[in-house]
Amino acid sequence: MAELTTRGLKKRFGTTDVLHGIDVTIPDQTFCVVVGPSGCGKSTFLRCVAGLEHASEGEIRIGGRLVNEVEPKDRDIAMVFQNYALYPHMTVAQNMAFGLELRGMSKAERRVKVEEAAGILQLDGLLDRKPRQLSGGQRQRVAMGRAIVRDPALFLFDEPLSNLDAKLRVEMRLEIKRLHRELGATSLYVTHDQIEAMTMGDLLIVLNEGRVEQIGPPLDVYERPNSTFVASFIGSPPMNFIPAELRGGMLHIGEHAISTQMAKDGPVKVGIRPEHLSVSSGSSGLPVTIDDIEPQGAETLLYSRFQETSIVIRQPGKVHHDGSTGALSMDPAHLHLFDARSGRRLETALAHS
Amino acid sequence: MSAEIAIEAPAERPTRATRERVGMVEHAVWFDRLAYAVLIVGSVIICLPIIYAIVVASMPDGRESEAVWLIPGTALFDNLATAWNKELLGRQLLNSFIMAVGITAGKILISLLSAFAIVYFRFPFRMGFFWLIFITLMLPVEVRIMPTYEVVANAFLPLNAILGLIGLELALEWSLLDSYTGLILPLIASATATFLYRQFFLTVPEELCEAARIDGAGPITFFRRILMPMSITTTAALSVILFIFGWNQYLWPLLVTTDQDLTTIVIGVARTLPTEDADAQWNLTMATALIATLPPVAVVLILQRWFVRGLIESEK
Repeated sequence: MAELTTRGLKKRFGTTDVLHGIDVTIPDQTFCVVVGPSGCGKSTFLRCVAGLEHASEGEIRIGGRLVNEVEPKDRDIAMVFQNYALYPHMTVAQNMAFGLELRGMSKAERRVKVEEAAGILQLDGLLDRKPRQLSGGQRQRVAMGRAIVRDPALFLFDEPLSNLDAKLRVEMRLEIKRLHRELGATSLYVTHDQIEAMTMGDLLIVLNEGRVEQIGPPLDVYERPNSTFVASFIGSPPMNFIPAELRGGMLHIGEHAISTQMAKDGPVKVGIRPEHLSVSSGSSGLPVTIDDIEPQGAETLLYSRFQETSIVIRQPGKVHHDGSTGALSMDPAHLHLFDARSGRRLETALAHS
Repeated sequence: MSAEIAIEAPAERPTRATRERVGMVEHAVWFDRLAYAVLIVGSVIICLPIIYAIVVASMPDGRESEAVWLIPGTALFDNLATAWNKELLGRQLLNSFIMAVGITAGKILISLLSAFAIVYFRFPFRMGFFWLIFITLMLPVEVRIMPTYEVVANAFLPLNAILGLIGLELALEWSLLDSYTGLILPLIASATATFLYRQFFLTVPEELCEAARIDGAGPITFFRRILMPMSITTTAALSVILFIFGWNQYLWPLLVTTDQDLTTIVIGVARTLPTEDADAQWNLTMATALIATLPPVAVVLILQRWFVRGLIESEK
């Protein structure tokens, strides 16, 4: 049980900077998800924390202890890998007990620990099997068992569910959450899956190109994204962006204007989530062309276009829409304004039009 | 992963239906016949010399030429017994066995360690060392026999030479001639085995090494507890090849051993060949050759079962 902090953590491979100074604090017992597109440095970040990569600059502290120069085995961590990384020639029990054995724990103690972990993970009958005799989900359980028996201060997960099929992924997602509730250990969980990012963590870190874009509870990040990058990365289908202009305290989207209290003038991007849009056959609203309608059962996605911008609309239930045009209306309370050039969020108060 | 597939989808019997479905196997009748013909010709080419050797070995003295009819004679066991008693075959078998096992074990140990170093450690000139090892493929013992002999005749020779360069005149001597060490040591470097282990280690997922590091395994523990058990299949397959390579050595043992007690069985067989002043006793030569063949055959049979089992069981 420990807090994880990094200060100005940088990682360079040759002349390529992968991490440009990461400052995060993950409080004790927090389940923190690190999310970002591939190549954003999220795995490198995790590997630096694990000690598998040496940090080029900055500090990493686990439970207050500076661990930059500490070997992985002495960092009091356990890691679950994407491809499980089980030792193929050992049984499930041996796999789980290997780390304990190397730490000089007696056979009887190891047995107790392994059986306890097997109980938590429902692996009881499988202890004498070899990894190849297990299904993907079971292998991932064993990999987690190997982490649990060590009773570490910090759990590290490196995209542990990416190799599983969709159904199993949902099950394991719940399983990992349950485990975290039971064990309460601080966890760092790396994923590129935005559903995992939204649902699993207490804390969400969005990384982009080696920098922290935003840190916060997942729903806060969803509701108040710091930048167009975060806004488009979190949420599926992603947030729509419509080019607009601020002029004289009014936000102009095409022919329409919404009054704001922004003093600034100039081009902006208006962001709005698909669920905050609705389309009708009337004439009050933005005129859009409907290209396609995807009924998904519980909801319907409408793919539309406003001028050059494609806009996805999500409406509950079934939608009958005749014709290929419609009027788009949006709730001003759910509009997000972003700087047109930098993509940063503009704090704003929008009044009703 | 292939093993998993095998578990989940038990091998279907290759019925006509599956063969047609798979669409890879040609099932024309003429093709079957051709395949059988090729197999039969191949088997005959491989088996005929062995059968001929057995038949010759079974002929009573003076009737060896009748063996061309491939009808076995009655004296097989008499000839084996005579051959066994004529020379020190027991001793020679033991010598060959020690040499072959020594070469096999030495080659495997050195290759495992050098492949481990090349794959898992980052040190300057790593690839240079790899290629250095690799080009020794071009230097079998036959090519380097003179310098190798000189070094074995005095293992301190290189040291003396180096010290000579810096002006120290030393004449240390340590001869490995007529010793098991001299038989084994010059033959235990193996580029082939190093290369095979390297290729195998490269297929081992990197995460396994990382998981072991987090579990607290240092390099030696990782090597001993993870890599070595995982490469057991490769090792079994290599052992067969290397044992036979060691067993078949002729030129090198002939050169470095003069002591009767260190004669290997291959040289023993050669000694039964006709010389100018003695009659050829082909039945005894063949009987000796048969005896000399048995240990490698045993090794193949024992280890073959082992590595076939390994192939079925192992995941990677």
